[in-house]
Amino acid sequence: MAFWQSVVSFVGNAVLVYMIGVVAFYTFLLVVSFWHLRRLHRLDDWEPYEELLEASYAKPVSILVPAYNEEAGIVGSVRSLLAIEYPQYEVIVINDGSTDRTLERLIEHFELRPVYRVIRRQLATKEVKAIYQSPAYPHLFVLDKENGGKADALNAGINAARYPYICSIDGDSVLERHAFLKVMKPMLESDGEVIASGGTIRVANGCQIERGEIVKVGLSRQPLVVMQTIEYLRAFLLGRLGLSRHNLLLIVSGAFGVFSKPWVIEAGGYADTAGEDMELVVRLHRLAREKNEPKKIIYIPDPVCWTEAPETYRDLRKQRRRWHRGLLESLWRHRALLFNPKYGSIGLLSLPYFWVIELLGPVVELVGYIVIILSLCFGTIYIEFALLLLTVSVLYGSLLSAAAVLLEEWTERKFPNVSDLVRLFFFSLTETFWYRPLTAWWRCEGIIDAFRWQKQWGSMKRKGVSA
Amino acid sequence: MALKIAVSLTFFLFGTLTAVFAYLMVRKRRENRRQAALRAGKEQLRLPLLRYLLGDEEQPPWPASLLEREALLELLDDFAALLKGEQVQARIRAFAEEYFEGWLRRRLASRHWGERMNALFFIEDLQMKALLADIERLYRSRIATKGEVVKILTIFAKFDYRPVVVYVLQPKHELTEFAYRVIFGHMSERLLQQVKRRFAELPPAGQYALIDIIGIRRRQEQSFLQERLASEELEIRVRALKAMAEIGAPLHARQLAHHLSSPHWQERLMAARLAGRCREERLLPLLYERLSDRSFAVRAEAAAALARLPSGRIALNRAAQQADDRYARDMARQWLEGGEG
Repeated sequence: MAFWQSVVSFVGNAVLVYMIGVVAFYTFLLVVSFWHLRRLHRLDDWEPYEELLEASYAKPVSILVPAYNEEAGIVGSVRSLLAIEYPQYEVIVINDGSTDRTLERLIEHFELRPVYRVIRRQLATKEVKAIYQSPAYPHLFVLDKENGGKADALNAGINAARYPYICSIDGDSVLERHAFLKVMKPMLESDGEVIASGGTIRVANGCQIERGEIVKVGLSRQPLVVMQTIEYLRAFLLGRLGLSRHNLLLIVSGAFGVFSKPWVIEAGGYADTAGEDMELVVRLHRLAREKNEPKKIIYIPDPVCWTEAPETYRDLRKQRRRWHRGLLESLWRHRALLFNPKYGSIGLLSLPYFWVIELLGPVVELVGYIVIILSLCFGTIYIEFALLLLTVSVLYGSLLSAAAVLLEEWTERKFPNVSDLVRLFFFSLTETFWYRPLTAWWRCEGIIDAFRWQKQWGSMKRKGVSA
Repeated sequence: MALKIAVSLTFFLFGTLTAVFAYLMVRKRRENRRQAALRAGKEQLRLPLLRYLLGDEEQPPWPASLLEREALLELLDDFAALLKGEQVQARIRAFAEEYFEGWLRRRLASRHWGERMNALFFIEDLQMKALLADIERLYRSRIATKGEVVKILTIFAKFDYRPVVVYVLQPKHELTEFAYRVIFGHMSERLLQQVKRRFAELPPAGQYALIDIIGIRRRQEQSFLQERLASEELEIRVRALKAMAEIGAPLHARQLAHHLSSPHWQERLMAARLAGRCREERLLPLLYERLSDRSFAVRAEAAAALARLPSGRIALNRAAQQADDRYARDMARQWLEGGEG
């Protein structure tokens, strides 16, 4: 018994040290984000971008929308894309062999007709069966191809794209009208120094959406969705902004990101992994370092893409397992970069961060929860330790999330209602006690999946946010 | 001991967060109310201000509160984008200078980057040239960031302010090609010529941008000229054709053919000249026909145009020997003998 007690105590102390380190790190990121957001705070929302809209020098963009069984939301999503404000762009929907009526819905709604278009096969993909164009919207194309997965669909889209920049958007997302200009601005202004830029993803559930546009921002009634809203705020405003400031970003969300096409092609396009978005960004960093070119990958907080979050435990579990498996796969694939001075801050800071904090985080958290329970079982002398660990977990989970909510309200202020803010704040405080343990467990399952090399796709039942 | 520290730290942080939360909630409520009031104020002021700007009504009263001033400024900014016409724009400018000059001047000196930028946006939209000196002071100050520098130079270009030529040669911060394009894009022809003369002094990014802008301007000029070809007025059409021949702007053969068979000799003349510049092989028969034009000038121009075509000399040869028309034979011979006559 004494042996086990000392084991638990040792592990518990390790967890404690780890958590304190992470809390310190995130606090640092919080301060970085705060200063950055504060600076932009009083700036007019639209004026800085007006110039780009008139300019003949805004470079055109091909928007790629991979769609697999998205009949519920696809028409709304495409409509919202056709309404964005940008001088020149095309929308390419890639129907990845859907088994539902995705293609038919598109053909009916946009009166698509088959056209002939030469495709330069720079990336290998499954066969494209037909290309459609809409007479009413000449900048809308639909590729119908054999099923090959999301990465394959995106690669087919890249082959068909005519423009020097590509943007990947999930079929179930809604872009804000000016999101595009905002995400493109740094790429244009930097004369090509920025090769990829991503915006913020937020949870659309609870928002009022009409004709593919967000009319009013709201907060869902469901606790599970509210927690995800908080989680996204924390991930984007706290994590990514801080990392982006130092060009350490390893993820540009697959739901909304713009990339320089030549670079993507040279990096080999999207790879068939569970986390194809992260995989691409790591490869772009790698390529830039290997070619010794000072390129940047950035995150911009303001442009927002609204996406549908899973509303059931089942779907959320599937999603988190898949995400975490993807993370592990990408990190493993690029393990040669870890602590490799040749890759500069990516190898020395960014990848260690992802290994230690992002990947191992849930494992440590889970161990922490187990230690707490065990310590309580061991009797009185360990209660104090259990409480200590719990307190630090509250800091780690709840308080940091609450800080992220407040940071959002201090700077971005997307939620118009006072009551939404109140709910966000109070829910964030409960995070440590139910949501964290749940997601930690699911993410651990993702790690187990990766070891089992489970390759199945977790597909979620969609209601369609923009329908 | 450790537990005590951790718990007190957590409570302290929790307390701080709750305090911030309370503050933010109060602020949000206030801000929501303010926004509602601002919207209402704008609605109230919209019509009187519009009437005044269109010259129908008395000047609106001096804003009684900060909120009213903000509403007025936002409305004015909207109208500046909507209402076209020199007179209206002049009224907007005069109004802005009377009501907001002092306030914007103070904003330009603000500590907050966002506030300074917003002031610059207003000054740009409302074309408040009276603040040029203040903007220049901001440009020279140490606090001016790269974003401000680009915006200020753009405003200088828009306001046709001459010193901008020197500033772009040696900007305070290194400018990207994109920034140069924005600045050059807003320059008048006169300023752009001045920059062009000092091309070698520009940094590479500026040089690339300048070449691009000249190309874009030329293309815009070409499409402007092409549109003029549809004019009812003979003189406009003739001038447009002449200008296009001057800069070597290509025109489609079918359209050229149309102008080549105009009833007016001046138009035929300029069309022939342009045809020579375009080297349109398809126009050979039509130009051949023009060799016997009633007007000497057209005949000469048609011969010159033919001479520039790859197979033009053969055609001229044939004309010199076989043309029914004596004038045509003469003109062709003259060209073949190497004279431009």
